[in-house]
Amino acid sequence: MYRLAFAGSDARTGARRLLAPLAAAAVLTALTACQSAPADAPDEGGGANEESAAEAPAEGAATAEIATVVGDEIEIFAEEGGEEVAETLASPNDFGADRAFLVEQNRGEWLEVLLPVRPNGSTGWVRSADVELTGTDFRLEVDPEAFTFTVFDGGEEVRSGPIGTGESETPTPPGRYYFTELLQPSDPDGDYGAYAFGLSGHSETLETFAGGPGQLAVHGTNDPDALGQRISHGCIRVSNDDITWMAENLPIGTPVEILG
Amino acid sequence: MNLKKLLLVAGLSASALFGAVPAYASDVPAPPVAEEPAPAESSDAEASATEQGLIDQDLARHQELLEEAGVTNPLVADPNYTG
Repeated sequence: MYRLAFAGSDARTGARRLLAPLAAAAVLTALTACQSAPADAPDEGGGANEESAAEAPAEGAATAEIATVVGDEIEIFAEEGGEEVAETLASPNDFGADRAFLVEQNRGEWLEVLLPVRPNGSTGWVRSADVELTGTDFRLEVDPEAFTFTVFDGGEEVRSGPIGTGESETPTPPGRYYFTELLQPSDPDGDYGAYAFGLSGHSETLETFAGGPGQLAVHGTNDPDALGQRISHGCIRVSNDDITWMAENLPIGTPVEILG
Repeated sequence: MNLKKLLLVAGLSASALFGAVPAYASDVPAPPVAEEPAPAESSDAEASATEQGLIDQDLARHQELLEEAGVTNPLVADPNYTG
């Protein structure tokens, strides 16, 4: 019968003899037990509407200036430095939003601004002292022919998605506009979706609509399947996800260019 | 003797590889007995209150995002745009 190496009076001697093989066993265990963690899989890209990689800034992607009225009303003049008031607009506007304009020209004491009145594209002059100036690098470009919108931050495309545009009898008029106010409808599942940005432009075929002056807007929808079609009375419809993103990122006064 | 040593080394290595626990390692706590899941007794009122709380948290967080972004808070109003 074999005698175990560490039995009886030979225990210490046996222990020493076991040291080398135990050490070898420990080293072998360490080598085989250690496993490197698998390399993290690279993140998968998101949906088509996720923020895209930065591109080279386009030429001419200048910061837009936004003029917000500081008083209860503002006088609009037909000419720079003019003495005759062409129009007076109240602030806040009919929805209760601070009156704001997109600045077309900054001449120091005087600003030429885009007006939220008919006909579309109307401009006027205001005193710089009557407004507070801010800026934004965002702009929204709408392509009715392609049924798409694109939001740019400077020269970088940051968001895009499908749109619904006006039917043939109530077309979406091309032109340069800006966001005049942001509304949150009481029913997010209604026709205007989760949010609605009013535009400075108006329908060229409807003088009034739903009790309003025929004002254009960019808003969500409860019928996303209708996007990609001529379906509206002039407004630009986008998905509720897209309008929610806009509501969280785009300020009042953001320029909107509807191609055509 | 060499054979004994070889067997000893092989045995130790194999036990280490396959995670054998010494007999004296009795201090490893036994896993707790899994408790039976409590029957779902929450009432409809409790469920709706919880859901409302989550909705309120989402709304509050949404407002924070708007303020952090420096964008205008939306006005709660029914539009009369051309649609």
